[in-house]
Amino acid sequence: MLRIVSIAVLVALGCTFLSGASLAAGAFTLAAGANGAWLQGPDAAFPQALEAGATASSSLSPHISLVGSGFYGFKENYERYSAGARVTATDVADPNFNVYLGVQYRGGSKDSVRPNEWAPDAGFGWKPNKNWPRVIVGADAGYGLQSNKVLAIVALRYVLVAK
Amino acid sequence: MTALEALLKILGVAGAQVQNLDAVLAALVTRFPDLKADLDPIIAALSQAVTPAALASLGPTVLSEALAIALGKVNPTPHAGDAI
Repeated sequence: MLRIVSIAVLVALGCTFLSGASLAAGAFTLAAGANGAWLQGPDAAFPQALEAGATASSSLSPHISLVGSGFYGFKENYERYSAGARVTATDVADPNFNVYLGVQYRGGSKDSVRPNEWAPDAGFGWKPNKNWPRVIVGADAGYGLQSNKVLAIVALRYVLVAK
Repeated sequence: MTALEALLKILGVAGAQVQNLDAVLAALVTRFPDLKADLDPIIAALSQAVTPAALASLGPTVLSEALAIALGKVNPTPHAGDAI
């Protein structure tokens, strides 16, 4: 778990470094959360797993954001990480819901979440209750260009830091 | 291949993953029917976001913003999906 926290912190620092100007304007996010994860494709080692971890992100423009994450999978005891960029494909003026397309470099500690590879992905985030502005639910599916595996997650997040 | 063509190709592959998302959300609706009212608009939004016309209009906008970022001009905008 220490490695996961370290990865999340490093990703957060990387996003901060790459988009230092955006911190002043206010779109850096650090969130903790859990996933239900499904890996589908050739030789997929686990049909589903529960994960816990953290994400960090920084918006650079109305459509473009940098994102990173680190998660621990309880079923296979793996650590999984990803970092990449996303493009919002819906109304950028709506802070409570968006659909995004992107590409991430993903990898992990065990064969079940390898190889390290690029993976185009699509997903959405939604704040379901205005009384809980820090709670976000969403889902994501990414296709590994090397492995031909699809990693799909259903996600619950709690925003720890939003500047 | 131009930068726009390369970007549209990446967006196209990413957009194809919406089919996998639809399958996950459909499975959720099957297991938790009470979520149908909430998830149906999301499934519709996913489909609309990846039509060829939507992707084609998105490409030039993204390239323009990427150029601005490269020139040091950032314009951050909060998105719920960034935390996913």
